Amino acid sequence: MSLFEAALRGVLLRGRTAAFALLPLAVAAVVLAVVFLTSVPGRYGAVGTVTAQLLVGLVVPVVALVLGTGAFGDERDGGTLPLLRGVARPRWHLVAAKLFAAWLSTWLVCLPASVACIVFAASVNQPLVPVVGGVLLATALAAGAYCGLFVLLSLLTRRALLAGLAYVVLWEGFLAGLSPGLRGLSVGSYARRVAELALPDDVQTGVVSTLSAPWAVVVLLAVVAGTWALSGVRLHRMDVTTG
Amino acid sequence: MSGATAVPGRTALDAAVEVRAASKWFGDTVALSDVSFALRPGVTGLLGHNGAGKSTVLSLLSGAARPSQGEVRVLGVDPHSDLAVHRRLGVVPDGEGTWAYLTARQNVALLAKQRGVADPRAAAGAALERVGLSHAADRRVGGFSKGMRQRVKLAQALAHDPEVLLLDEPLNGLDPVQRRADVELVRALGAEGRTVLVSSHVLGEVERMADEVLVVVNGRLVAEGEPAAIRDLMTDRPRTLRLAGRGVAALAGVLLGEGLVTAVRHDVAAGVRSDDEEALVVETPAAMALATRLPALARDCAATLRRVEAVGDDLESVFAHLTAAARGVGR
Repeated sequence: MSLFEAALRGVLLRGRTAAFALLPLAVAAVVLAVVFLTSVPGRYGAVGTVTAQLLVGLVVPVVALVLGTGAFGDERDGGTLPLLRGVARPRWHLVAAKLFAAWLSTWLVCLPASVACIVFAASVNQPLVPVVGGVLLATALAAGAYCGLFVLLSLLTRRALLAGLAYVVLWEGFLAGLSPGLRGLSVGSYARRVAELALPDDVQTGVVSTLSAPWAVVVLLAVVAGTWALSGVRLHRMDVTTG
Repeated sequence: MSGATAVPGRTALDAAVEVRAASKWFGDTVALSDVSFALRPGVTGLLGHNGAGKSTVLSLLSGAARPSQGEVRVLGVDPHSDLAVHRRLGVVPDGEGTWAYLTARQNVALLAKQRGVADPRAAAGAALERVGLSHAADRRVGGFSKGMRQRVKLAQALAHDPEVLLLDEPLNGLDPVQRRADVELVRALGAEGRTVLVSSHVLGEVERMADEVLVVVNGRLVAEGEPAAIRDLMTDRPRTLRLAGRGVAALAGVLLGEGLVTAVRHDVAAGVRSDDEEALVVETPAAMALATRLPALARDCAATLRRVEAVGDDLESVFAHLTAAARGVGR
């Protein structure tokens, strides 16, 4: 069994993961209900809000928060972090296993809501290929960047869940929208720029980066790479003593 | 071996593990202060009460933490920065230390693979058999008792056939039969030429496993030597004893006269069986001498002792004495 496989099992077999999987499922149910119960003009006004703000701006970061902070937080709480540290592998290998397991899990858990948003966007006469590509790419990149941040946070503080929640609610949800300068420091603004690939040009998508979609992709990948590297350094330097 | 009591002639020349003037602090809390020792192949016990610094010593040796000051070497390298040493080092950490959602075999094989074992599944099977857990190898650890999880941790530490083993309270949670088996296992590991450091807060356990003992009190190494020498240090010290039976008052007078006890008081808390029985608490500066002469003195003054027991003889008081003794030799 590889570290990645063990990490993936650790995330997916946790009760907390199953509980938080209900959030995207509930969102998917509501979105599909809207698709089948409203007319095209009615849906058109809501497609940006649902896809860019509800899915990319709320569902993905909340799920990433729970799964990302648990990556090393659960190891620390369960007393297995010293065991992980006691292997003859570079620390960035350990971080990679945890980060990519959290990333993949987040993307999979959010998939029902992503599929519902694809159906929603396609139902307002958007071409299917950009819709599928845009939604899946935006959720994947947002999941990766948020997981990277929250994995790093879990190595920096024992209160990572609380700190991460404050980040999602205060920074991503409020402060980042106050000025264009702050917007540049918001993961969500780049993810929403990518999500716009799936949406009509004239719909509201909330706080969005001023960069183009390709550059937004680069920034999000850079966040993943940067947090991965910093987490590796932090894991190497931190003490995991219990005595 | 700075300043510890009862130091035999161990040198660092053949040491697999060396700690030189190591200190560790967390904020304002000093967990370990100026500790030095060297370990040779065989079993060494690390004895200390809870919070004495045993886990901190093991954390430094396992590379889980770095010393704030001083130096730690395991098999000649710094275990924190040299990751390759973990192929030759096995650790049973304090706490849970197992993945509940994996089977015992998967728990052991996962770490064996990361430590460079060519066939981790076979190694896991062999290690689980050695700790007596092969019958439960393919069951999830989440359903295991504490004792079984403790054995999984031991198997994790053994699967890659390490030269150095660090075992943090490995007998915790085990029933008497399992304890006996694990004591034998630890002794066997030492006899195979491995360097084993095993921590405990129970002297009796350490005595049965170890050829040498390190005693840690409040983050300082206060005694070091063979278990018998440590036992003598702990036994021959001022103690408080309760004596109960017939004619005990007369016996106490004799003991005072002989200088074997320095204070006597009635023990009102002790239950006595009949009106002619009494209970006293005595303070003795020389417990060994008192133990040797008490039967004869009791016979001489026709006292019938029903009970002789130590009062407040917990490890804490033993360590307090050793701390004072250590200060007396210059610490």
